[in-house]
Amino acid sequence: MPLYTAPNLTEGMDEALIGTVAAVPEFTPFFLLFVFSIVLIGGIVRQKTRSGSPDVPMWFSIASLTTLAIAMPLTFTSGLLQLETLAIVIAITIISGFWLFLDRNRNEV
Amino acid sequence: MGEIKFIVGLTFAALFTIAIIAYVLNFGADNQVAINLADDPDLSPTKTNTESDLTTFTTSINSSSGGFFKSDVESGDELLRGGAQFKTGPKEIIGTTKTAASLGFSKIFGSDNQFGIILTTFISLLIFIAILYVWKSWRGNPD
Repeated sequence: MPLYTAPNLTEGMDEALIGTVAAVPEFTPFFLLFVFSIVLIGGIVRQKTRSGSPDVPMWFSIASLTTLAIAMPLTFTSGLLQLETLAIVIAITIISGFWLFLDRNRNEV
Repeated sequence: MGEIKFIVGLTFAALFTIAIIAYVLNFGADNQVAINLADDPDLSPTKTNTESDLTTFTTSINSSSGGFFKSDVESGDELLRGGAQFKTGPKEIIGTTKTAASLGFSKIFGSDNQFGIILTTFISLLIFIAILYVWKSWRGNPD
């Protein structure tokens, strides 16, 4: 028994993605979480290696903005991204801005 | 961090909030997207309320700075008796933080009042910090 019904791959990449999201609604939120985590953890580790101390608020903001930039094109077609997910991405981006601007340390932005 | 950096940080964060929401709303309008943020009942009021708070902040700053530049100090006077110039910024700008924090709180935690103490404590902490910064700028380091 398959875990989910395989999408029709003959109608293009976008239809395959929409079919995948229809079968597994958590696909898009976890994809965005994956992008966010890659940028956040990669940036922190790389900066810690380079300069000794990571600027976590800055990388949190960059990861949020990167996730928002990737989420925006997903709104072109219905079925890829839920409105609630987009609202949460924007809320996290705004919170990251507050954290960055209220951070007491001297950061690189 | 002093009062200047505190006010600058809050102001930039409020402008950042307006910029992000306006960008996403205009992106949706220009491209006629299927998932439009304008359909969300909370985002547009947040942008409007933040703009209103910043307008109030600007008006108060203009008023207090006008009074400050017209003022003069006689020999032996007690300087800045009311301290209005230092109190104006933090008092007005924290409202923008409350608006944006309420949005983030409701989107991440939901509208359940069980977690409301987090937002209330955060705003109270900011007000407490603002009071200490105003006192530090006005009268010197608080003990």
